[in-house]
Amino acid sequence: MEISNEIMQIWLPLVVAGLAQASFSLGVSMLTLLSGHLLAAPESTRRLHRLSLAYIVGSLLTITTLLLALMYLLDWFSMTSGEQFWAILTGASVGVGLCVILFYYRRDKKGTRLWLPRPMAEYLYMRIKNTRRAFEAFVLGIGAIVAELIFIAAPLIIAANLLLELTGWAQIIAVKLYLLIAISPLIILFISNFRGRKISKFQSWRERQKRFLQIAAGALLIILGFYLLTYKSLGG
Amino acid sequence: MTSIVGKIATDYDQERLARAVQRAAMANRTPIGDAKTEASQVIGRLERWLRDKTEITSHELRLQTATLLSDYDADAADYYLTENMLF
Repeated sequence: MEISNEIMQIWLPLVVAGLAQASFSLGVSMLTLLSGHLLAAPESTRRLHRLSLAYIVGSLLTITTLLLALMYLLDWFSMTSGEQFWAILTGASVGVGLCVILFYYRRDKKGTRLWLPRPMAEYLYMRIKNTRRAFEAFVLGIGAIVAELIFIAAPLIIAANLLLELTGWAQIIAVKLYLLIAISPLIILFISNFRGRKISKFQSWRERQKRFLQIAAGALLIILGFYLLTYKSLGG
Repeated sequence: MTSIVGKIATDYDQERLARAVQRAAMANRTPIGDAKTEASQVIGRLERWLRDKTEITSHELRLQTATLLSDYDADAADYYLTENMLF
């Protein structure tokens, strides 16, 4: 495959899939709340860094495991090059994109909240407030990814299928690039905390941009779906 | 005594609210001593606001607390107000 073709058919949609995954908010919200609670405790700063790192490692390991498992399964079932499979993936991407735009946030009289059922959200609040050990933060990091699987499954499967079209070092670099993009909001929050920035600055920016992030995530998935339909399914 | 109405009705708990305000301030890297002072000043003014009220909702209480806190620490007030809407 020519380099320009490879960029258009693999690297570009891979980056867009990573950005779509990075736009989902639950993981960042959980880390923000965890950071706030740890900072409010007297013996906090070193523990904050240790637990934040454990949380990020938990999330990163989960995404890596899911991505590699999907690559293995798709390769095993030889689905990678099938135009019909790409058609299914593009449909799923557009469908999930619409669901994100319509349902990812909901408004009530108290404000705009994530799609999570209230009992689940209350349990997460309670669990995060009581987190004091690195292992608990690690498990929360895993939980954040698993809880959003309903939305992140589509970009993950698309990324896995795209990655299978690469070989050797290019594939390894592409896997790392995808993981880096997907996890980048957590890394930005970690660096911001590490440098002693106020958490409210980060949180109020996110609060103001909630609607934008929701539309961005949905639109990216819809655009990705149509893009892949053209390039992969219709052979454009 | 002021009651907080909502899904679970409770009596207004001054100490609990003071702790929440102090935590919000400390979450924004305000030193513990300053956070305690801010919390006690906010609670003092809030008590005066509550004097003629027998029932309020927890949302009204949160809004008023954030408004009073913003006079001392606008960032902490922002965090206090949005902390429960993270997800």
